Amino acid sequence: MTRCDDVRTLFSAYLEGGLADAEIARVEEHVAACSSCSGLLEALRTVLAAGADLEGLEPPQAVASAVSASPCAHWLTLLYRAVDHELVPEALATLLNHLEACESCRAAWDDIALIRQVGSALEPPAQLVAKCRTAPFRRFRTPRRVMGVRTATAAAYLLAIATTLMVGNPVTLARNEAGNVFEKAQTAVHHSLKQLASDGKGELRVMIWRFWQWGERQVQATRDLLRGEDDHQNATEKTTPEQGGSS
Amino acid sequence: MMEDLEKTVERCRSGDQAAWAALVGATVKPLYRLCASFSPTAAVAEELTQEVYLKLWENLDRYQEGSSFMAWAWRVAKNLLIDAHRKSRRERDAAWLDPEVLDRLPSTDDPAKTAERRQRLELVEQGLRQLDQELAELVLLRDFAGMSYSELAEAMDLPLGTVKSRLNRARLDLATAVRRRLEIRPIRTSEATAPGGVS
Repeated sequence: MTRCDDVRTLFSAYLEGGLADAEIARVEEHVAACSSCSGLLEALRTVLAAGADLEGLEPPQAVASAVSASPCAHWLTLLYRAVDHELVPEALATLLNHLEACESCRAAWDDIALIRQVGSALEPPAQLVAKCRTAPFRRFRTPRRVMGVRTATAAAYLLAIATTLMVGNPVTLARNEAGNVFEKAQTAVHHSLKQLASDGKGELRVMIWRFWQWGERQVQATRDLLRGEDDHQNATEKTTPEQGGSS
Repeated sequence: MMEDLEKTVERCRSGDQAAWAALVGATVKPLYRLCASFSPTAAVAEELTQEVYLKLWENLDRYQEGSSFMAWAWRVAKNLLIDAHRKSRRERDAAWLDPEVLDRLPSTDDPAKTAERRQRLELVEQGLRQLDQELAELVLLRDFAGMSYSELAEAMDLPLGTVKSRLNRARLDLATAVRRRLEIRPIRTSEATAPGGVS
């Protein structure tokens, strides 16, 4: 340790008056000869003087009054914490001691406890709780309606009218389409069976020939039936020309 | 004084309001100075003082007879004060001894002395920023809150000699920082400083 460091360890005690005369003389002798230590001692005086300056700092009267004259204000805060079970047991015991001695705090305690009891009493009815519990599941089970019955009926009528106006009578269209398909199917079946009847052998050929003949008759009967219906419809349209729009 | 405080604390534990008022009266000044040292504004210093007393009251049963009340109060309020100080530093880069707190100091008859005092406190505040947290706390407890060495030793749970040597080191570090600033901008003193002890 250098001589400067050695002397500097005594600075605090020197400024606080805690050194013996011999040590005081040693410090002063060194400081007189050492500008570095002299400057540092001066700065240290400034630090201690600043601390002394702060001794004049007084708490505002309002603060002193708040913490001393009305400790019940603090204890009321603790009452709420006690009701919420947030106080440590020791503090709670002290609070209860105070409640025994302080009538105003005891009244406040009664009020707070009453408020808590009222709050606890305001519980939702069991029926409401049950409804809330089952409501989400009910919603999942019930199918959702896209539209009402009346709306659906009106939409169906509108769709039928629009189709009639834009495309034609759906029944006639279906029948014509069925006729075309029927003709194509008949030709294909006729051709295939005729081939089998001419190329088949023995009893199988006779059976196929009979089946083909039966099929021919059935096809002819169906064709006659359809032709008869068409003639009847055409005759009806001719007798009522004022109603006769194109189908 | 110590015995009086012990008796007062004992009466407080039984819910005696007058005893509580007496306890506050005996301790509010150094505790307020301590709170003000750690607070960014005067309003925060006031709130902090009230919080400290509430915390003291809550923990009153843990105070052991025979120990220093101020040392015990520091231990109880330490986290509260340090948290408040760190928060204020984060939010507004404030340090100890905020100018708003210093404005609460009573003015002197001599404007030059008032200005000198203000400049001195600002210098020390700037120096405190450069110190380690623990060293700064030691200076604040001893030189600003006025705690004795024995109270400091008890509060820090350290031997008396260790406290003295650490405090001396803290003061020298602070003085070094203050000296650098004094060389840049010396304080205009209204009168020559007397050699030797502190006034």
